[in-house]
Amino acid sequence: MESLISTFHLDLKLIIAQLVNFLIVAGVLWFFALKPIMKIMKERTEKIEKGLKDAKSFEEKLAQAERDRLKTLSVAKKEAEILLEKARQEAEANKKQMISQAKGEIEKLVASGKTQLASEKEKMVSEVRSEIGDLVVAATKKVLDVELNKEIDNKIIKEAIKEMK
Amino acid sequence: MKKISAKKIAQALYEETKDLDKKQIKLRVENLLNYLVRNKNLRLADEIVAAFDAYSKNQEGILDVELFSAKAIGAEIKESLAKKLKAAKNVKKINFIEQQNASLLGGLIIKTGDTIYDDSLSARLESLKQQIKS
Repeated sequence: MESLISTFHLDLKLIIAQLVNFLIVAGVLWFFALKPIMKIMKERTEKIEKGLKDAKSFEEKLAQAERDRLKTLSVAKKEAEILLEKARQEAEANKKQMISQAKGEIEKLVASGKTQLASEKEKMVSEVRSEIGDLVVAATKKVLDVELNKEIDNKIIKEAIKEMK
Repeated sequence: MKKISAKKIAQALYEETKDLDKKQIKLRVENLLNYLVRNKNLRLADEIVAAFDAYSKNQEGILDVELFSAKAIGAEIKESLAKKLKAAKNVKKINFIEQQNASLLGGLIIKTGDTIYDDSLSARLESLKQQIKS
């Protein structure tokens, strides 16, 4: 031991003093540098872990929200389709009803028109017949006034008596 | 006192006077008039005359026939008509009552009691007019 010290010219006291210094510096560094840094590192690690955890949770929530959105969208789409179908059916029914009503009204109008036309035709024919009747009678009376002599009248009377029952 | 109808009085008068002469008939008529005056029934006189006329004609087989024509009807035609009516109505004599009406135009209307036979030209024309109208 002593040979080693003399060979390398080691000063034991210096070494001890330097060791003490080292320990003091190490202690100071530990308390005032490493420990706070470790603490900050730990906190930072925790924060990052928490952030990652939160990010994962957020992702899950986002995925859930997307699923919910899709589900809601699907339900809404189905409801919209049902409503659309219902509206289409109602529109179809209304259309049919309106067509039926229009047809009925047209048929009524046509029937009424036909009746009116027939009535007017009947009236016109009746009026024409009446006019013809009056004309025939008036003309015949005029002819008879001029042409009917006693001889013809006697003949008519004889025929009437002959046919009398 | 029960009232006697004009018809019954007329029938009684006819039955009582049918075989009497004019003088006796006049007497019976006077008696009847007095009876009507006494009973204040003189207003029945017209009815009695009408009923007497109808009853007497019925009893004697006389039929009143009204003839309506546009022109006067000749004797030959009336004779022919009388013959037909006598046979149809079973009467002895036909008493024609003639009326002329130019509006008939021609032909004739025969009226016996409630029966009317209208074969005038005006009726025929009216019938023709109705046929044309219908």
